Amino acid sequence: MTLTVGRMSGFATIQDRGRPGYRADGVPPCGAMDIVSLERANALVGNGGAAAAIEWALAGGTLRFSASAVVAVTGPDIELTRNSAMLSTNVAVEFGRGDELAIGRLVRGTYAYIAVRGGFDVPVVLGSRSTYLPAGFGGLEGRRLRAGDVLAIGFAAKVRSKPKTPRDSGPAGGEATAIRAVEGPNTAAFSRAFAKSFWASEFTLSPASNRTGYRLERESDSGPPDRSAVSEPACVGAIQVPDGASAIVLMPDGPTVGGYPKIGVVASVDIPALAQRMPDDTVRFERITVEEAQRLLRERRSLAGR
Amino acid sequence: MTRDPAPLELAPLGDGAILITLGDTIERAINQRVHACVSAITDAMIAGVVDIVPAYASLAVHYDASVAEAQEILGRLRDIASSVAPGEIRPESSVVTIPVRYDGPDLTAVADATGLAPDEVVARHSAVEYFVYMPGFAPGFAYLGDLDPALQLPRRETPRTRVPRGSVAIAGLQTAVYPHETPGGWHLIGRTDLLLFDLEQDPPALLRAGDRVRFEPVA
Repeated sequence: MTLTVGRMSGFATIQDRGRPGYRADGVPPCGAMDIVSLERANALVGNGGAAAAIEWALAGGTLRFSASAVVAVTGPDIELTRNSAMLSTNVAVEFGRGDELAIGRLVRGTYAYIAVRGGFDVPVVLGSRSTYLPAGFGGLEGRRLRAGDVLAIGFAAKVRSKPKTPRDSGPAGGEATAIRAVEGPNTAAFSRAFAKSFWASEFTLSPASNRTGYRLERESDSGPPDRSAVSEPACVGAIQVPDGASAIVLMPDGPTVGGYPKIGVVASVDIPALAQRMPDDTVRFERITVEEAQRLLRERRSLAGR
Repeated sequence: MTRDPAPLELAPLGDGAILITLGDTIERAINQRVHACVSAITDAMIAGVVDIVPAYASLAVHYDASVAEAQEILGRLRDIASSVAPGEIRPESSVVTIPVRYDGPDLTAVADATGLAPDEVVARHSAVEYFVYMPGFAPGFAYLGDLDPALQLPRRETPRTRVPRGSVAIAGLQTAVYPHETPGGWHLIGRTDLLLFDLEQDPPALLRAGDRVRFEPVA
């Protein structure tokens, strides 16, 4: 069974939950920007947690099914149709042979996830089916999807006997919600005044944001932080501060090492909410302890059933 | 009389990693201690650890927060890192030879800027046995040092938007090979056909932290 990409004006790649384990080779963890929405899509169609889905950013496109399939689309707020009839997100829907799924506007949010029962059958590269665009591997031929692509639907993926409706694991995080972060590790690179103003600031998400990093800007007359340190390891969520008026939060395709000082690291549990922010949205941070961040992550994982 | 203990700082790097800092300069001795820590932590096979990433004077231990808690893993890592002697060197690392055609687009500019003949640039670049300080920037990319000080130049003022795969480049006291076509600001002096990142291999990166590297001029 296959799925054919018809129209494609969005930016879509195959993603799963990522490929940790290769950072010492310079390979970032990769994987879904919003792991909660990916897991929800897989759970809705009865897939195991390791199945790959389509991660869809920006508006517009169609997918056609060669045979009947069970499909779910998740993400904050997306216009969807099946054969021109309106369709809801966050439910499992049966598609028949020749049916067309059209993805319209992302009304709210940046990434939608399209899961099909059985998962997408692309090769596993370094332990994952996730596309890593900067080095051109994973997913479908290491690239974004385009019109005419044919994706095989898997049989091998672990399929649950019956689709499971995931319990709601909390709000995806509206714009008003602060993004929680753990302070440090390069606390010494910032003056007390700089840190105080940074954590109290409202940032605006720049359109120059992608799977590698989210760029945040603020009004500030602060000078640059101390940049005397040599490059050191980085991680997903690291809040790098290149100058007084901006910050770059590393996302799943971000580099494994970096030279900018890190004032904090976004809590893993809030990476999905940050990923769904749109250009020009406001972002505020709230500091929490590492213990609190880990407790929240465990709580979310037990809600998701893993 | 006891010697001052070597610097050792551990701090959480978010909720999924611990950063271990052993110094704040690019020095072979500090970097070798980083690699010795990587070996010791690898050998300890701590439950929940998923990645151990060396850098110049620090390393990160990434772990699964549902398996290990921050303070517990920080304590284990402190015990291990503090028992690694400062002078300790990683068990014998391999020597990798990289054949290079020294015909890079910046070879003449490098010769002009350093006041050396192009042949002399090639001779000095290929005379040294380099050391892999740090992986990163891109899959398979390795920061190699130390370059002959006569070849030391700052990065290009305008980075190239496309550096071809296999380009051999220099900047500061470092040299590297670009494993993929990427943007880059280093000076390109040659090119190799050797694959620096091969998905058919395990591990996929040819150059690993602590390895030694030689460049061999070929026609």
